Amino acid sequence: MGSKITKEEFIKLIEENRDLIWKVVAIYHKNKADQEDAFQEILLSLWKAYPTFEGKSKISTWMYRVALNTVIAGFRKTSNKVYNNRTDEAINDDLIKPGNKDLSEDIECLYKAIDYLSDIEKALIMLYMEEKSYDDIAEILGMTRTNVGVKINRIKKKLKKIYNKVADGY
Amino acid sequence: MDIENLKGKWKKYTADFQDKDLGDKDDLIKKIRKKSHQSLRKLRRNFFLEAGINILAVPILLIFFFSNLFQEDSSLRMVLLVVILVALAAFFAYLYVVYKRIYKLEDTGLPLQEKLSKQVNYLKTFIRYYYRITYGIYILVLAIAGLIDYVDNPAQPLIGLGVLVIIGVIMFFIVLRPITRFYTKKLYGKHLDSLEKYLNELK
Repeated sequence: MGSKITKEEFIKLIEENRDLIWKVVAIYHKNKADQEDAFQEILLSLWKAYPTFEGKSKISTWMYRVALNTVIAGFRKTSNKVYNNRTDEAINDDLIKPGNKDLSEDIECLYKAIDYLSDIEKALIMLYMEEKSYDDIAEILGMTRTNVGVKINRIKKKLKKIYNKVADGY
Repeated sequence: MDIENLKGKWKKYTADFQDKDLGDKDDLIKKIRKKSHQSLRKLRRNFFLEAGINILAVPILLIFFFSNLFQEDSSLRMVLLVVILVALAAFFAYLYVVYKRIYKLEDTGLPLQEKLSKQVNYLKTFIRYYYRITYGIYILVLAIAGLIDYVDNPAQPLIGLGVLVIIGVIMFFIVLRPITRFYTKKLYGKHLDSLEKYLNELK
């Protein structure tokens, strides 16, 4: 690839992979307005970065990389403290909406528990939950495969403890 | 609850995000035309602000330059003004390099660690050079002022120079240094700290 993409082609790409962007957005932002802003920032970054996509990796791997780069290394909202771990806010109504009661309770606990993690830990656990391979995660984050494995094991243990505490609060 | 067991529910749940409404094609096109709120934008805004101030300084210098052109004993002043203009040109060249680098840093296609590392290194270098250039220009201006004072009052050069040096040193420590530090810290401090924290976490 590495060539120009038309707006129509780009929109098609976004429509086909919108869940990927919302997954990243939901992990980092609870507030609806922030989610919309973050979504737009990621969209802009993808549009600008697309000419540099060489097709060496899977499109989803590349999109995760751009999206995480945008929310972690670039996008800052000055009006609120998006990057502080949030502990006491309600989970956002829109992206994390209960459909099935049992499902939503688990997922709500999981999102609340993930909220206590650092931004890098959030990225790692999200990619792990998405069943991305360690090689893909290493490629997205620029870490070594071994480092990815070590960190994910640590985060899983940490997250389990937090999850149980959060679940006890229900 | 084992986190492993939640994977299925997570996947099932987040799969619904694919149904989230994106708006129509026009809405999406509007979104990719909007201005970015990336933190690098602050760097770019700052760049344009400082470049603008420097551009404003050029006509003032030129007025000063031509008003001194036809005076007697103007040779030294002319040399000093040329020095200022050369310094200004060098500063513009530096700003151009900064401008190019800022755009390069916006590449989000890099692996996160590489991007963070580049941003941290660049911001640190930028801040270091910012101090050097600011302090260098200040010393240069003081030296020029001292020389002009010497030309105007050749009978008492040492007294004038001594006073100038004392005032210059006091102003440096009371005004220039704290303001420069505050300015760079305010603009890039928190961002740089968080980038370094992320980078350490990834290593």
